[in-house]
Amino acid sequence: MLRRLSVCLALAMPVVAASARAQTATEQLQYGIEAYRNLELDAAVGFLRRALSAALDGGLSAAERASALSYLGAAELFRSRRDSATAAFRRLVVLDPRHRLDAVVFPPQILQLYDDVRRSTRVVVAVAPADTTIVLRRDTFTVRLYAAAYHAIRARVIRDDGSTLLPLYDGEVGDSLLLRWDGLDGAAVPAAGRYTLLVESLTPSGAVARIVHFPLEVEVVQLDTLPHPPAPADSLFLPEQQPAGPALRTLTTGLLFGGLAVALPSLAGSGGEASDARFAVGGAIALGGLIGFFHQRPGRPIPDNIVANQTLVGAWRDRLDTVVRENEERRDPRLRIRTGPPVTERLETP
Amino acid sequence: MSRRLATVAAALAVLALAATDAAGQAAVRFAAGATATQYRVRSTTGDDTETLGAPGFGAEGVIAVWRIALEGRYVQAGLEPGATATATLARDAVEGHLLLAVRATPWLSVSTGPLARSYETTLGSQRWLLWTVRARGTPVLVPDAVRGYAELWGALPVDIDVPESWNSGWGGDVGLVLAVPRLPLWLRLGYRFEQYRLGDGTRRETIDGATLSIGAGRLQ
Repeated sequence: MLRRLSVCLALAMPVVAASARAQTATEQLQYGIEAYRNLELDAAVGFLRRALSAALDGGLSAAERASALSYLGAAELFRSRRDSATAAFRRLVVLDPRHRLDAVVFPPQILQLYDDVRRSTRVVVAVAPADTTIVLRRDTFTVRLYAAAYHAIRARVIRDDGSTLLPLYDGEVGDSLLLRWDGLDGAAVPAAGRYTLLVESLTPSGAVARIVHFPLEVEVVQLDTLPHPPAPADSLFLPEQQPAGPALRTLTTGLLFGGLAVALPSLAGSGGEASDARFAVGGAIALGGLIGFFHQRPGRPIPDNIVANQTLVGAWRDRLDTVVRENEERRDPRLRIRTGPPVTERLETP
Repeated sequence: MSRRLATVAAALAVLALAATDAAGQAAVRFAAGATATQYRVRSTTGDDTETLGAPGFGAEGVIAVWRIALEGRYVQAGLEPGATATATLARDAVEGHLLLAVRATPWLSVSTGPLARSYETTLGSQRWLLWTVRARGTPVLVPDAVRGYAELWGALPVDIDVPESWNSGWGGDVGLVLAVPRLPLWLRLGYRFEQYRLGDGTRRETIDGATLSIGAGRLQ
């Protein structure tokens, strides 16, 4: 019993520890923000640095980390430690170049410093779908780059060994840039394998300031073709011409009922005493049967059935065309591209 | 008697106006119409035969829910002796029936209900109250336009003001119904025949004649 309990505790420990760590980091962030608002700047910096420390860093979400860095930079500037404030803001820009400080929360001198840091930081973030499939020679794989400031970049796809598979872009980037890759290498061959999209941010002197490594895993996919839908079964088709049966049945019924009208008194042995009107009625019924016979005469086209059959065939042809088109697309080879989390590497400041 | 006929005709006319709406609904079916009939009565007792006849007028209607229908009919006529009859008094005839019908198949239904008939003469009245059981076939002759019908029925006495004992009674009605295209109107032409035997066959009452009806709603 004790042994089983100890096993359960051992299994639960990592979960409990992770939860406590996350709580602690978030709490440290809250304490830091509260201390900042109370102008207890030293305490604020302490709480915020602990929240961002390596041991607790995993406990903060991206938004919380951005918030912690914003307050840390502001607190440091108010403590007259401009370099520390700049470093905190730079970390924030690298984390998310599109981030902007809240003008309601922070005073103008903080906003000004942040803008200065952002404009001087050469970094991009790359955003792409985690898992996508493109049709070769028709679609392109797209990666959107967001830059903190206008600067020069160099983007290329490299192999695992570091050699270049294909250069994608070499030029300036403003607010954002869309990189497109058709999935082919320099020799127009589908590039299956593991690669890295490398985006280098360059300083005005041409030195590499930062590199974004964006892992790519490329796989050639060939889809199976779909079977053609079976043609409608003969049993589903309605007769397009009147068969002989209904017409003959109608004629027989009309004659039978007409005869019954005439013969009704005779069944009681009163044929001679009955009204002659029965002959008129019997004749009318027989005439109705005759009209019914010609109305349904054998071989006469049945428009409703013809339309129903045409609709049936049309629907089948539509399904067939859809499958044929789908199969034509499926015959084109595709590339499945999966991306990993991007990593930013700093080589030179800023 | 004319007041009674007027009342029935007025009631059915109101229902007939509603029939155009009711006809559009599949669950409830209603039809009503006016009837003109050739009313012929032949009464034979031993060697004596009385023959009377006159046009009769009346109304008929049906209301049906799903496969069950209630059918009614009323006719009255002032019967006059025929040319060959001797010492025969004129009669006012009034008759009606009310039937509860069940449609077993699209073309076959069975029904049962009372049939009442009254003859009024200057000497008095004679009333017949019968219970009938009927079977009716209604095959299509021209799709969406013409249906034939043939009804045969047997009768049992409930209350009859005649001295003779009851032997048998049966009847039939054969004809066709024409549905007017694109309108909720119908026209019915038929021939009916009824015969009752009483007093070990010494008395025989026969009624027959053609019937023409026109009405609104869905008769079938």
